[in-house]
Amino acid sequence: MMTAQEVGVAICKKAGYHFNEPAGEGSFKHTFRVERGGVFFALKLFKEPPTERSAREIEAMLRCDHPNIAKLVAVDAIRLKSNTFYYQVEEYLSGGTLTERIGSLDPSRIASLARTLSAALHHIGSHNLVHRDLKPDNIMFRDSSNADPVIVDFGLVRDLSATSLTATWHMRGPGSPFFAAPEQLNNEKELIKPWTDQFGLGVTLAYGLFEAHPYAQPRDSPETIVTRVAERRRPSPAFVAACNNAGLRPLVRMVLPFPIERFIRTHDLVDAWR
Amino acid sequence: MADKSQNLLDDQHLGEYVGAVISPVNYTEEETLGYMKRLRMRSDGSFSFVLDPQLYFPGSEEGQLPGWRFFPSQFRSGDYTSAKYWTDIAKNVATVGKDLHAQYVASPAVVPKVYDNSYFELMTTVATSFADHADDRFEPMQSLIVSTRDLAATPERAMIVASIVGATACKWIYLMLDTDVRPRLELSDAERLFAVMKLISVLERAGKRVLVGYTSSDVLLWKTAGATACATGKFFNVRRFTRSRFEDKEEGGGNLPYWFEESLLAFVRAADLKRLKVEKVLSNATVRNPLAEDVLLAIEKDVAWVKLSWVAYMWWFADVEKRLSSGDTKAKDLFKIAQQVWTKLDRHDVYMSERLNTGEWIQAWLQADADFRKWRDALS
Repeated sequence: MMTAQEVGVAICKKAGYHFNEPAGEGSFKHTFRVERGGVFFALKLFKEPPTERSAREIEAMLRCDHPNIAKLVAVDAIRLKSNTFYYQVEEYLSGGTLTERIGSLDPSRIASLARTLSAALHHIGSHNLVHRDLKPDNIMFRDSSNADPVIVDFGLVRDLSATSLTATWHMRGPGSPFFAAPEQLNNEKELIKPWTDQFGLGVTLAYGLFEAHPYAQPRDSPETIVTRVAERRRPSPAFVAACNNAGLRPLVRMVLPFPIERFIRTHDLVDAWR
Repeated sequence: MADKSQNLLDDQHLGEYVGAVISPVNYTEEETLGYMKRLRMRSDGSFSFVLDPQLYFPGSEEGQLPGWRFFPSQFRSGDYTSAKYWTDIAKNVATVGKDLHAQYVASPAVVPKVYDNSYFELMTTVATSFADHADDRFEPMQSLIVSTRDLAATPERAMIVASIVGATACKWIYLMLDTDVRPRLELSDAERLFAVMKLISVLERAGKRVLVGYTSSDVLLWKTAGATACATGKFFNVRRFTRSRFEDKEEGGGNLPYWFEESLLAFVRAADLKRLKVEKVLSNATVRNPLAEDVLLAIEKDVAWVKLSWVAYMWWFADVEKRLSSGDTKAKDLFKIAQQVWTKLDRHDVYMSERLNTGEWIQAWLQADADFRKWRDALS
């Protein structure tokens, strides 16, 4: 039985990359840093054969073409010792994730990130897609500056023109509950639209600045906060006041509980951050 | 426009109206083209027409509908829960709208058996594909039929429905209220009224423009909620948006003359109006109504005043909408006055001719208005 790294090395040999090093492991994929012509790439090796959901992820990434959305370079498979291994190659983002920068961002940096990432959300929405898993781990940077944030991991993407892959009995819907919108937590399919990502981005940015969830009350556990969001309470008065003081009023609207209260068109969101 | 209403559009007292809703149930395409042309010539093109395809009730009285080019061949048996069923209908409605040069065209919509999320999503999908056919030749409106009972089922329901509909590509929403209130009675369930007000308010706040169709004195509530416009007709509150409206044309009291008295917020009969005059409780709006004198004279001489009553009511409607829009009049003040006047009449043993005309709905309207303002203040 070959190890994941051995498979990675074999893929590099076949596809013309130079193998560098392991760069992480998620639930569904191993990631390796590889290089070709002086440029780094992320080689992602599927642990299991791609499912329909993986196919949708790939399809979504191929449809998107935006400077702040991760670029998919290649999708292929390799046959080794009677086994087929599936992989994809993406651009390599060396600046790490937003998670690593939490606590070091000021309001002007947050506004700048909001401006850039709202435009990326507009692009995603214009392709009838909803990312559904926006969180600090899924915002990466091309370098050590904050200038070039990139949305990654379309593993839970929803194509609004295709049948839903989420079972109706699912209690919380897919995604990371702490950053998810009420309609996602309540698995209300008719309400899952681009404004669902707007909520996720809003919570992500709010957390990046204040290190607290917009709906958090003192001494709340994460579970309590998620319940509060699912029940469609309102953002905390402290959060609203802090946003107003920091000149970040659009952030409050992004995380309101009912989609109709948010920016219902993504270009309105883009305009709000201009 | 209700049956045989087109002449009202020429009435000199109704010049405040900026548009009319075309009714394919009542008029053929040819008749419609004729009166649209006539009115356009008279109004220098400033008068707008809204084409409402009125495909609400498959199986009901269809009137002139089957003669219209968008009328689906399988209207009674089609699967209107499928998006595919609506594809050609949406396209054909748009084509007719363009041919008529209507400034606004409402998307085709049906009254469902159940008002669930999937129904609203389907109607929103239909409206969005319908908007694609507008080609900048008309302003597409999404027809939104809501059940007031469903809307008040939970405190969140109006917000959920607004959210689903918020995804529409149409800037305008043509709102119709499906109620179980009998014709001639006022909407009087405070929770349901409040739910409708929330729906209108959040849609308007989200940048949509709401035209509420088939309204009457309830215009006061919808304008308070922020509706951009309201439409009414000559039959006042006797022909609200109900299945019976499209089924029994001769019933429901359409040919009885009523006076709308603002001081009571009620439709009253001739004998009532005389008593109100004696009690000196007629409103300033009545004093200013250019038809009031003629109506009182007609009542005195015992001659027919049905047409006068239509025009008088429609004059009041346009006048109060204008006052509400400008902020000169607040609905709450009118509710309070009406409550006081009804109390005074009760003290003086003055009763209206119709047994159920007691002003009881005013309390519900006051409550809905109060609940709405509290809710709105909490949001901001």
